[in-house]
Amino acid sequence: MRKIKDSLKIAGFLLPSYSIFFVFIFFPLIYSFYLSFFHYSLLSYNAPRFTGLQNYITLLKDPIFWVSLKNTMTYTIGTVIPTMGIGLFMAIILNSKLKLKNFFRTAYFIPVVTSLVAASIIWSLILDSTDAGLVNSFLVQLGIPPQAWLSSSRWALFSVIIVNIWKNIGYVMIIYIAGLQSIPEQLYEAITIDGAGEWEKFYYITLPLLKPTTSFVFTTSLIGSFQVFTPVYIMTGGGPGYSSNTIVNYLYQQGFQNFRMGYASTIAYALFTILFVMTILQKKYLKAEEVLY
Amino acid sequence: MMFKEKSLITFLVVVYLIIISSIIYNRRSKASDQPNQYQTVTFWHAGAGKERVKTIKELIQKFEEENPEIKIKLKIIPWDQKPHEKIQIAIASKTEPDIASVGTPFDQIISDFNAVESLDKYMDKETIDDFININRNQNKIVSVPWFTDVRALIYRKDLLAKKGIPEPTESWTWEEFIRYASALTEDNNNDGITDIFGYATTARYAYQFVVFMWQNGSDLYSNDGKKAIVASEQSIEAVQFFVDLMKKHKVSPIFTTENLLIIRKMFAEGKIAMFMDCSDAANALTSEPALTGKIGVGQIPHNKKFAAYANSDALVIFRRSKNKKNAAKLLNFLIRPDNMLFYDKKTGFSPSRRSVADNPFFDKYPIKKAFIKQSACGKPWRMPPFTPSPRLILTRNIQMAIEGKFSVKEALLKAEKKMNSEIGSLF
Repeated sequence: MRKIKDSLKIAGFLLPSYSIFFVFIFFPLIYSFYLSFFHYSLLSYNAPRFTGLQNYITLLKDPIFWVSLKNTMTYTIGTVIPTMGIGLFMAIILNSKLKLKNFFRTAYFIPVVTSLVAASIIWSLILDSTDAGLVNSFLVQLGIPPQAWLSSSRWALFSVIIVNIWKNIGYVMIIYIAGLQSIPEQLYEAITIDGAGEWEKFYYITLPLLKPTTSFVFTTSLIGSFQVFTPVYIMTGGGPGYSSNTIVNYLYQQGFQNFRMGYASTIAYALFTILFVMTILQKKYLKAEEVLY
Repeated sequence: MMFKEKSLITFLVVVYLIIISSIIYNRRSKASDQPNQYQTVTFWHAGAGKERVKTIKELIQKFEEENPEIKIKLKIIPWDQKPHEKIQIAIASKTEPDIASVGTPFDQIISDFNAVESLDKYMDKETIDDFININRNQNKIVSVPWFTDVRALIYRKDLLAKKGIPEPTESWTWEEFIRYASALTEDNNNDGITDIFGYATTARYAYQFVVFMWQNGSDLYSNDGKKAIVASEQSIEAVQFFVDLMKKHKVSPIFTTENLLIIRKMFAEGKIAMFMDCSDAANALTSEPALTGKIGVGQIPHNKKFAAYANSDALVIFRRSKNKKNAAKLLNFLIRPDNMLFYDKKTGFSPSRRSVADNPFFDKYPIKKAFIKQSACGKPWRMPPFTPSPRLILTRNIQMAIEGKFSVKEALLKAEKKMNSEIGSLF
């Protein structure tokens, strides 16, 4: 009787969150997989039409999908590695006995809590292609002609990458600071007695013991980068041409602008597969070892 | 511990009670609406703007006074909240309104899917004939333009006067246009950076170059709608003309994806002498005190033909509406000449009915008059049935041509191939 009572209590507490999970995550996940085998538009009054693997075949032959995938990969590499590197560097600095470190931690974290839409709009103004843009007006002062930061295929994706690095550094920094603070001071004392310098401390103590943190940051950043949508949508619209189009932007264009929800679901599952494989690989090669002190 | 557990359970029970009572309350309030269901017309309006919303509300109040048995449930959806996506979702979830105002050519897409009612039976012949353009699909009226939003040539009177260039009250030829735009383009301090551009355009918007296709005797699709014809000789010539404005004649900045807001800003600063835009832009610019008396609106240039791009917000009645008769009453009320005039007076849009356009009120306002004059050759683009808009295909390929990734001809051939593959693909 007691057991049943306990189970009911647990179920009672879990039900609200599980209902939300089921309605907004689990059901769409399964339903979009189902839709990926259908020709379907939200506008259609008729039931979705089964087309088998046609959407997947179309996807493999779709040059815009491949361009979008290439851009997403470039974006991911361009964002994840520098963000982690700079984030770690700043975490180390702000974990030392620096004056005003709390102020700097807050300052660097502000972009993380800023709305991405608002930040993208502000950055669009900063990177305006005319000499009215902040960056270009600075360049003009230096005698350099204004650059089309957001409207040339040379710079568009690069500009979006810079904005995302700026936006995410604070998050990575805070996670690394937490990781750094969990490393026992005694280990540094021991290696110091052995005559190690700052670099040896970092290489033999900090870096290995930050492996679980690095693994977490890498996985979440990788998934986040593959899902990039807002800054591209607002700052470049995926253009010029398809030079900054990413997978999620392409998915959105197909689903809501070209009214092909079945095909958009297929793109979503292609993205899901890529992320799934990457996460498995990451788990295999960057496996976070348990650290016992 | 015991106390803590009891508190948690009490909290859980309270949460569930609140949820259950909200559901019951919501159902009851819906049920109490039942007797009035057939007297309430839901109206979704795509697009906002302070003056516009105020005007719509005034019109609806007037309608409710004239028809006390009908109540209008108005929902304003600003453009940045993606009203067309909301309508798609409403159709998918069977919660669409009775009547909506949507942007063209979305009306055509939803009519392809048979989501909207044919309006022929709700309108009399005299009214239909009075419209400058009425939106048909497969010979059936699928939407009625509430107003026309034609693109005309907005220019700086002061800059044209400085160079002794006549105002484009009558449409110039392409040659005249290039000549005048070149004369207006200036590098004041000879530093190699242009200070004033004679004209400004951007490949972000397809209509900015599609009008030149029309003016050159071409179109997006063949008359039977069976194939795309954007790589025809006339189209290539027209788009080359557009690209040359930026690259060869250098009368326009090289803008691939730039928003028109940037052009408007540069125009206000006196860095651009002319650009093609809608009445909203002209209204916003003329309301700037610093620009008083400096703004003019003229006719866009022509080549073999006169043509301008005119889209509109169009009224549709949804097929699944249980209240079509009352929705049609509202539609006919909104397009009634006196109400259309009231709406256009307040918002600055151009009328879509000839009888309203001829109203002497507009004679007092040269800018409004110029837009009305331009709308005589204005038209929206239409696609073959079950075909998505070619806007993205066209703009992206032309952007690449501007960037020199490939020639205009190659860009248009690519666009044509893609457009052909999409004809009827939504079926």
